[in-house]
Amino acid sequence: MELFRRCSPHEPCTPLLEAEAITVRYNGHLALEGVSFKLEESEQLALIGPNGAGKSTLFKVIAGVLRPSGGRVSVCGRGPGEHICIAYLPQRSQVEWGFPLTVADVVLMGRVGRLGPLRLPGPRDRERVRESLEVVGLADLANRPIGELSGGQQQRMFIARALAQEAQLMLLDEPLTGLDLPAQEEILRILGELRQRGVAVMLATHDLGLAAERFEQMILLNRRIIAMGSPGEVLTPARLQEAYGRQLRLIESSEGLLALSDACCDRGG
Amino acid sequence: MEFLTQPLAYPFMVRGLLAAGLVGAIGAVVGSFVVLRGMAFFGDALAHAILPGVAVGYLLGSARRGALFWWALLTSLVVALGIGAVGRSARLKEDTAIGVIFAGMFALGIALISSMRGYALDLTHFLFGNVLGVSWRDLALMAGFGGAVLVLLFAFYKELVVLSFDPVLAATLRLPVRLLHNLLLVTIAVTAVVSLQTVGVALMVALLVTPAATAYLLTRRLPAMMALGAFLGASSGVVGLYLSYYVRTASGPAIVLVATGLFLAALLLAPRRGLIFGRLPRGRGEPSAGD
Repeated sequence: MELFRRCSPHEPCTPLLEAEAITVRYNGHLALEGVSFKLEESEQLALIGPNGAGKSTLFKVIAGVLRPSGGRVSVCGRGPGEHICIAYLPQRSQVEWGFPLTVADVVLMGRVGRLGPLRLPGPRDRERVRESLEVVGLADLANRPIGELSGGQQQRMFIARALAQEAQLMLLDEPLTGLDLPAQEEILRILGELRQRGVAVMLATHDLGLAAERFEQMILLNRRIIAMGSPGEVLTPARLQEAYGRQLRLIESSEGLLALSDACCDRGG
Repeated sequence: MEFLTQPLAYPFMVRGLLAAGLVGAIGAVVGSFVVLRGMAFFGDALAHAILPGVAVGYLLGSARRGALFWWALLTSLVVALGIGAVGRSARLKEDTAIGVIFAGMFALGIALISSMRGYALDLTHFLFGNVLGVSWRDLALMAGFGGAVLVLLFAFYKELVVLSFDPVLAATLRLPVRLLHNLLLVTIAVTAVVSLQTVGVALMVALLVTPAATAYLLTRRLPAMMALGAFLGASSGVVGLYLSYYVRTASGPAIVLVATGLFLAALLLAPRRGLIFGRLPRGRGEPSAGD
């Protein structure tokens, strides 16, 4: 077995990502059950569902970090473990922000997979880092310690790292949680940029309104897929009730149906 | 000047100063990873768990002191990789498993050594170090193994940083995560053995953690943290040994006390992370200011 795998960039393919009947079992408890869907290049998909629905688990299976108990993920026809073009962007609360690193140090980490062992980053890698930072608007902060960034900047730094990684599929785990509106807008603007570049995106969020407004495709997940399709198809009262149960209140008002959530949204499911 | 040169008239002081400086520097470089990954308890436990290995070497013939190094090395590697394996099996929390192994091994070591007559002095040396007893041969072993540790850490530096900062990224970049983790455990284990004669098993964690922690407070980037830590570690070793010479106190504790003094000074005075001039450190996961 090769210890350090080299993965060559692949040609566009269809579908980019295919999940077939993914099941994950933790200590006899089902975290995911029979999850199947496809994702094409440039496609952007919102993943919604209550806390504990298995959103992070699904991302980890797709990224090839967690082996599913059943089912199969294929990216361009091969297992995720054979690719270095899948980026998982961590929840900000899971990151050790006291680490003595600069923004550029973290973005350069995206190059490590392509560099291979015993090689130092060269001018091309640094150029790639600079470009990635420009795309997310952080070029001025390249030498800033990561602990001094705002929440939105932290998230954009991870997108830059995924760009430096030359990721073709990005999995964003609650990137908008805890950000104010301008910071959210900035992330959404960058998502548009990613679409131009052909990057496929899956974004986990608790914000149903935002998902409905900004995404054409969504998956409503609670251990299994409750619904999949356009927001109009997915966000029906019956399906929301099925996914959220008592975590979500639906109220009839004069202007239509209101969904009121009282779920605390700091931890992803 | 004579204050500095007078102790150098004794060859054992020269060897001791070289050993203390060397071990201080290597400990801080390895220790930077220990501090950043929160492995201080692992380091402390590992150091204590070496004792039964040393004891076996000691029982088999205290005349052949050279064999102790190899017994310590074998034990240290086995325990380090053993703790790594126990940590992966999810039955117990890792720190519980470490605690059980640590105390058990330490007790075994003391039990073995105490079965010998007239053991008290030797036990003290194992526990708290005996840097003045370092021979040229010991020094060569320390330099050789310490150098190997540094070479390994620099060769796999970028991979180890990725693994330490974001293990999930390491996995998605398809780095050999388990191998790298074990590599780090092995370098800590070797460093512990190299430091054995200088500070002993009971104080070893200070050499791994204290200078690196001081450097953490004073720097902004990891390479700088390692370099400053190495300098502070080596300085603590040398200054501590001079201190023990003039104040007539045990050398291991003197070295650790100097390192601790430097840490406290940095904690109070560090420009950004210190208590007086710095902001309060931000906790993990605490939301930061908006854009």
